[in-house]
Order: sequence, then C-alpha cells, then structure tokens
Amino acid sequence: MPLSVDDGAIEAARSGGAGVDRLIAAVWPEAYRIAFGVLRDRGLAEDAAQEACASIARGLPSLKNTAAFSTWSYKIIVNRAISAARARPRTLTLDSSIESGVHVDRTVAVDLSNALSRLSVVQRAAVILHYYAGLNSREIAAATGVTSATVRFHLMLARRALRKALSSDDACGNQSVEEAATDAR
Amino acid sequence: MLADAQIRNALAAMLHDIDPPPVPLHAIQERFERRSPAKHLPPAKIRLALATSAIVAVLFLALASSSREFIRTIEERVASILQWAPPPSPPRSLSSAISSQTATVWSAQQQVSFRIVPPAGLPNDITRRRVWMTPSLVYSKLTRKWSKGDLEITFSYDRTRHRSFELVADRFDPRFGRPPKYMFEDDSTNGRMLIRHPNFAWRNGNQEMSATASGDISVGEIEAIRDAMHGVPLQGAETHSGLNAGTLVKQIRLRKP
Repeated sequence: MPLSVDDGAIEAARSGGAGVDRLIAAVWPEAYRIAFGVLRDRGLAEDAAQEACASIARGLPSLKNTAAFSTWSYKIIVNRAISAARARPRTLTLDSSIESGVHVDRTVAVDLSNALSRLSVVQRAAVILHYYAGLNSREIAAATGVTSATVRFHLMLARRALRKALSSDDACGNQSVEEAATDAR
Repeated sequence: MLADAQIRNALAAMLHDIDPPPVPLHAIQERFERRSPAKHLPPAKIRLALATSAIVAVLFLALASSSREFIRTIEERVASILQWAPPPSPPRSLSSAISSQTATVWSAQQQVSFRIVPPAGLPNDITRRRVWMTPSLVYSKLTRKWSKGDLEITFSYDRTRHRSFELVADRFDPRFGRPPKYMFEDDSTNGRMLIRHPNFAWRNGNQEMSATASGDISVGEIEAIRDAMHGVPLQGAETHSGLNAGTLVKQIRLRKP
C-alpha cells in the first residue's frame, strides 16, 4: 500500500506535539494525490486533503489498531474528497489535468487520467481505493457509504471503461464541460 | 485487453506524477481547531447528574495564594458556609507530581479522552491567548483514595485594561456531581470575609467547560461564549446536599507554566 507510516510514528503522534506534525507531513502527499485523483481539481483537492489531515489528527486517539492506519486514513481522505465533490460548483471542468498541474509524460498515465475523468466521482474513488490503496469492496463500501454490491458494480463499470480507454488508440479525447457537470452529479 | 496489474501500475504512475504542494501545517491545525460545536443534548440526561464539586472553589483561591495555610483557611471558611466537608489532603507523592504545561488545542486533543470544543464568541478585546494542561487529582468517597485524574485544559485570555479570565475544559463525568453555582473569593481588605461570584458550567458533547464571572468578565459575556459554543447549561448546585452528592471530588492545583 503506498501510504506506509510505521507504528512508532503513529504512537508518537498520539502523544501530540511534533509527532502529529510529522505524521501529517508523512500523510499529506498521499492525501493530496488521492484527493486530486478523485476531484481532478487542484484547489478542491488541497481543501479536501487539508480537511482529511485534520480529521486524521482528530481521530488518532480513537484509532485502536495502528496496523489499520493506512486503510483508515484512505477512507477518511476519500470521504472528504467525495464530500468536496458533492459541494463543488457544477460548472467546474473536471478534465483539468493540464490546467491543474498534473505533469505526466507517460502515455498510459495520460490515457488513464483522461479515462478517469469520464468516470463518476464515486467510481473514481472506488478505482483509486481498489487499485491504488488496495482496499476490497467491503472496505470501499464502508468508506464511500454504499453497499459492497454497488462497489463491485462501480468497479466493473470503471474497469470496463478504463480498459476500453486504455486499449483504444483514441483514448485521449477531451471531456466537455457539460459532460463534466453531469459527472459531478 | 488490459490486466488489473496494468491498471494498477498506470494508476500508481499517474498519481505519483502529481506534485503535491508543500504541507500546509498551519492551515491543517486551524481546521483541527475550528471544529463545529457539538449539538445540543437532551437536557434530561444532563439533569440526572447528582452531586458536588465545590472543591473547584479551591482552584481560584489557590491561584490567589500559593500558601497551604491560606488555602486551608479558606477551605474551612467555605466548608462552614456550605456545610461541606472537604476530602483529606492528597498524598504528597501525587500532589508533588502535578505540574502544568503549555499546549495548543492541537496537542491537547491528543492527550485527553474528551473531544475538545474550543471557546467561541469571545469578547472582542482579547490581547493574548494561552492554553495549558494541568493534571487533576480525584478523591473517591467510596474507596477514600486519591488518584490522578484527567487533564484539565485551561484557556487563558488577557484583555484590555489589564483584565484576564479563564475558561476550563474538562471531561464531563456525572460522578463529580453538579458544578458549584458560586465561587468564593477572599476579600478581607474590604472588610468582607468572602465575595460570591456566579459560576457557570456548560456541556458540549463529553466536554464540560466552566467560567466564573468577575470584574474581568461579566455574566453576559460568559453567557455569550456559552451560547456561541451551543453549550448546554449545567445547573449549578448551591445547597450543601447538592454539593455533597457526588461520589468523586476533583482537586486542581493550578500552577501556570
């Protein structure tokens, strides 16, 4: 799992002070990347990642199993991102990989970025939690507030769309604002 | 057709190509401290609490003087007025270990077992704000023993015209009984034995916050803070039966760090 924080750092953070700062510094890059992956907007991603980091710091005392820190954190980050997506203006362009500072030089990654833009927010969250964070459908369901069956369905649709986009020569088409607005709903 | 592994790798590559901005620690700390106040709880649940905690009066008196003799004298005077019997002195091994330390809401939250709801609706002439944590000592009337209690979080504010006031946050525990309705201040210089100050306590979730009205902060200003926090008022006890009803007694010896 990409987000790896050792138990010592988590325990140090529980005692407060600089330990919390160090933990947040360790979590921040992943929080931002995941939030951006879901939201496709730099400002919203930063806002959601900040909120997620504050929630993580706030919830640390109630986290019983430090081994579950990564999964627990991913759930919080994705939840915050989904909340931000639901609250954002609907006319926002979702396909903002260039405007928003995503600099990718690998064709597959660019294709994937464009393909992800065509997915709904919940589908993007499910894809990131499954393929990037390594969560199973039950864990994703708990994080996103839908049933496991719905998660599996979303993943199936997302997988199909991604495979289609990534295996197609014409995968780099731009998404219109109208499509993006529909997506945000 | 792409395999799952290819999607996984492409996704990882895509996310790792995103360059995150520097860690906005200050902004995150502000968000941490700017949590929304807790919702109102059914008053009936709160009203079930029986008891007393008049020892908190000692807190203010202890601030006025560090002399043990002074404190004992005041305790005796309060006890005679309220017909309230203070617990025996805590063992030196416990009381000597008590020391306050400065904190932020951020760091304090990591060390207490209740959810801190920071003060809101403060007077607009605050010139300085400090937060510190102080361990409390708890006496059990059932076991007749002292033990170390939870940390108290003190929000201390300086105002214009050399005024200052404090708000104390603590974990709500009905075993301590109701908070005292009044605090007593020794004012022998004016020829009076004790001055009575209205004391206020309110609850936000599992946090209990208290403040005492004085020349430095008025009743109206305390009520404004409580209302801005959406705190549920806790009814203060003023009779000896009310003050003696709790099974636990808390003692806080405030020593500013």
